[in-house]
Amino acid sequence: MSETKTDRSVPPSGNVWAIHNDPQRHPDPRRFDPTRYINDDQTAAEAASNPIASKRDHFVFGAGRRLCQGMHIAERSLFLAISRLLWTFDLRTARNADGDEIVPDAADLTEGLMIQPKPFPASIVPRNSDKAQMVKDEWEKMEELLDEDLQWKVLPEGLIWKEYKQAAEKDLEE
Amino acid sequence: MVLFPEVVKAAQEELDRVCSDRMPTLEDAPDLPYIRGCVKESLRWMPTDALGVPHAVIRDDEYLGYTIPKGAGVMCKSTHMQ
Repeated sequence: MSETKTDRSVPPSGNVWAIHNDPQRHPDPRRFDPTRYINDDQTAAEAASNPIASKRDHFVFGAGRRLCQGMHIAERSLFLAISRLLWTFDLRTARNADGDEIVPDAADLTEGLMIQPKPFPASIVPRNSDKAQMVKDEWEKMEELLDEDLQWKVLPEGLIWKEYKQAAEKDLEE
Repeated sequence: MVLFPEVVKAAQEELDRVCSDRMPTLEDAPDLPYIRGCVKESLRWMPTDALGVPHAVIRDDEYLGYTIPKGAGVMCKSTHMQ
């Protein structure tokens, strides 16, 4: 930190946005480019606790001793959501009545401590009818496991955090 | 994703090659490096907690003349972090 001294007993939280958009860490930072991480096989937990700052993937889950406790779930949920959404749907810009593309503003964010893009129109269309049917069938199966508030009554098969279990057992051994 | 159609295309090429006509599962993660890249890149590109999460002071402290009592929540909003 420049011109700022911080006592060791005051653990500051980092400015995540500034680090993530540092062009020295991530060239052309506002370009969404998954190949930045193509040689990074670290799990979220491995990357978040990597002592070499330049090997950290990002700082969303914090830094130091007090890290996000849910990062394993976040990582797996995002993997399933992203892989299945893209497997099923084509995601494109929406068009207005004149057929012109509606390009959302990537800098138009919600205000507050937690940020996300403000709602924007998009075109989300199944890639084919087989995939659409498969998603409908899966949803029907899952609906049977949900209560009236859409909370799990029973956890579905396959939601076993196998790797997490292994990591926890490994920690106990060490 | 709608702003970066080339990412959708590359991701779908990988998904179609690895998973074909079955839905991806967690077991596919080792074979889907581009999707794993999408996960990390999503968190970098749009970090929900852009300013980080507040931490707490473990004992009384003083900083630039301000008293920071034990237990107080602190955040770092410096834009000069190197």
